[in-house]
Amino acid sequence: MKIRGRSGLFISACLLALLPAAAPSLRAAGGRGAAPEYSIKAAYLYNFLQFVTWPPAGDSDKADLVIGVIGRDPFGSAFDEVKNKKVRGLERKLVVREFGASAPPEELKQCDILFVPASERERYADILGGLEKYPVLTVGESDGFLESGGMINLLVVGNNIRWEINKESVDRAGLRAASQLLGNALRVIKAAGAYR
Amino acid sequence: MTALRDLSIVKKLNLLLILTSCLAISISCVVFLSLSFFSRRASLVGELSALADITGNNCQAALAFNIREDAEQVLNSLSAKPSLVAACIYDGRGKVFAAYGDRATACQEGGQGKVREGTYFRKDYLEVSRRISLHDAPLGNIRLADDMRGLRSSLRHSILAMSAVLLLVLAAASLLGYYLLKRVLRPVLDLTGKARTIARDGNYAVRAEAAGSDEFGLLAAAFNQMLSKIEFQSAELEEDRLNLAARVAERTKELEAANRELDAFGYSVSHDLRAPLRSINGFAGVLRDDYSDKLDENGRRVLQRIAANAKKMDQLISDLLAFSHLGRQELNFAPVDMKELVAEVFGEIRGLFPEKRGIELVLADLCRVNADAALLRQVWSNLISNALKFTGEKKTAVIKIGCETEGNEFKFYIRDNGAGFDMRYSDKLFGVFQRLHSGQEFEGNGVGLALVQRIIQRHKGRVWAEGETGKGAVFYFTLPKGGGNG
Repeated sequence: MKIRGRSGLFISACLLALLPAAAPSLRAAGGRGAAPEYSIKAAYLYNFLQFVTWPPAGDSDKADLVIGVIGRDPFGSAFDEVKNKKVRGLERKLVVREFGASAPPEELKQCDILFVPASERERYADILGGLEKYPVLTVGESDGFLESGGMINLLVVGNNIRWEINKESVDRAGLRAASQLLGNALRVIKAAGAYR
Repeated sequence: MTALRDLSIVKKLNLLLILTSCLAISISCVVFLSLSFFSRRASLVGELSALADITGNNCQAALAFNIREDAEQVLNSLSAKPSLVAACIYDGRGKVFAAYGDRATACQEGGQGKVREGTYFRKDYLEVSRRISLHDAPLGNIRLADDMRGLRSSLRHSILAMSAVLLLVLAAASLLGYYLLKRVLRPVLDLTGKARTIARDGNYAVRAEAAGSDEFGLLAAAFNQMLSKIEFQSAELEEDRLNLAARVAERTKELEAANRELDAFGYSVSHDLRAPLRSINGFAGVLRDDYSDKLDENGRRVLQRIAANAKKMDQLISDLLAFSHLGRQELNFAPVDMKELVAEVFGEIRGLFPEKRGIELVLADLCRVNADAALLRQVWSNLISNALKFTGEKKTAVIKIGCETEGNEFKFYIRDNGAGFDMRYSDKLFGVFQRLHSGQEFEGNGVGLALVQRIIQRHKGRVWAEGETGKGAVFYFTLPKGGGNG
């Protein structure tokens, strides 16, 4: 059911009240300081945490789940409500970290998810190049992200936000994306080439 | 219910057999069908639950990312199961997120909060509602509605099959039952037939056929024994009857002969006796008329005595004649006004006792009877003259005459306050020539009461008397209400 009307995105945000636990709060968050688009994107990032499997790390139960944002943080307080919620059934705290535009991979690799805002468009290759082998889910929001080695690219389609996935990159990082994530992606790039 | 009772025993037992078979089969069928239905339904529920879970899981991303089309696409794949008529996915707040098929069926509860998980048996559908969650966090609910068509049709088929079996069993049981029962019950049927024949024809020579040693066999044996006994006794009875008849015929002949002799005797005696009597009377009369002046006081008295005795003898002969007549006389029955009759007779008799002083007659209302008037007249005549005779010594003779109705008889009585009699000899009263008092005490020849008894007996009544010496007597006689038939 497509949402029609002028405040399509806003209503989408309201509908994101469907989302687990975070639900009502995200709606509130949408009014509070972050643009509605980023409320949804924040929720999506949270969801990606649920639908992607990370390889077991040495100290696998490291207490915090880190969502890193490189460059200018567009989220504001969008993550507030989500931070203390369960992820994958585990009581792990969600932490949002900001990194400078020129942070090295050694620093970035501590993230579980790294969000690369559109503002860093020019530097995709630099950022992503060093992170290839690390189990960091890279999420971008502009064209060319996947081609540069990014894993998930968020797209605004009409009144919705959808995504496309570069499965090759995901596999290379040792991550595994749930089939439902792949199934709902607008585009999946596999080793043999991209296809819908 | 009486119609049922009158059915032949073969049919009755056959009916019973069929009924019990039907009952047994029906119960088994019902139980089996029920069990089968419920077990099938349970497995359908399991199936649906699994399907709901799988489908729900496939919609996790759709719900999480709010992608309706994806959810709808997943739901559409449910078309693989034709009996699934509707499906609905609810979001975490209970609102409808995606639907498939007939919305009205599956997407009822929504919007007011939580959608309950569970299995619901509606009238036409089976609904299964399951939660959709992601890593234990609830995302929403999925509800599937199945129209149970497979279940229904298999139930229909089962019922049809069972019915067919039932009918088949009915037919087979009734045929087989009829044939077998006829064989088993043959002894009883034979017995019934023979009993009917015997009752109708009275032929006790008939016997039932031997029938083994079960209850029927014992019955037949006992029956035959009884028949033998009856046959034997019947023959004996017949013999006795013939004997008796022969004897009765003999006696009757003897009796008739005796009677005839008696009649002849009586007749000749009376007539032959009368002749000399008439002579005596006549000559006595001549003496009285022509020679009384030649006689002295004594002589006239002697003559008087001769005349009196002759008269007495004449009376005796009349009485005897009447008595003997009575046996052969035809009675003429007619309604009789007893009161009138008694009054008349009393007047006559009274006239015969002119020297009597106080005579008090108490005459109650007398019942009307059907009897021979002439003979009754004689009865009253005798009874009343007796009463007057035996109260001769009393200053005032009190005579009470009345009637009572007892049962189907009229009881007449005549009570006097005369000399009475000793009850010890009451049975002699009514014998011929029996007298309880000597001729010196009271007149009479002893035939009167015998006559009364004879007459009353011919009217089919009874006579008896009660008395006490010196205190008077009561004479009773009864007449049956309808009038006796001589």
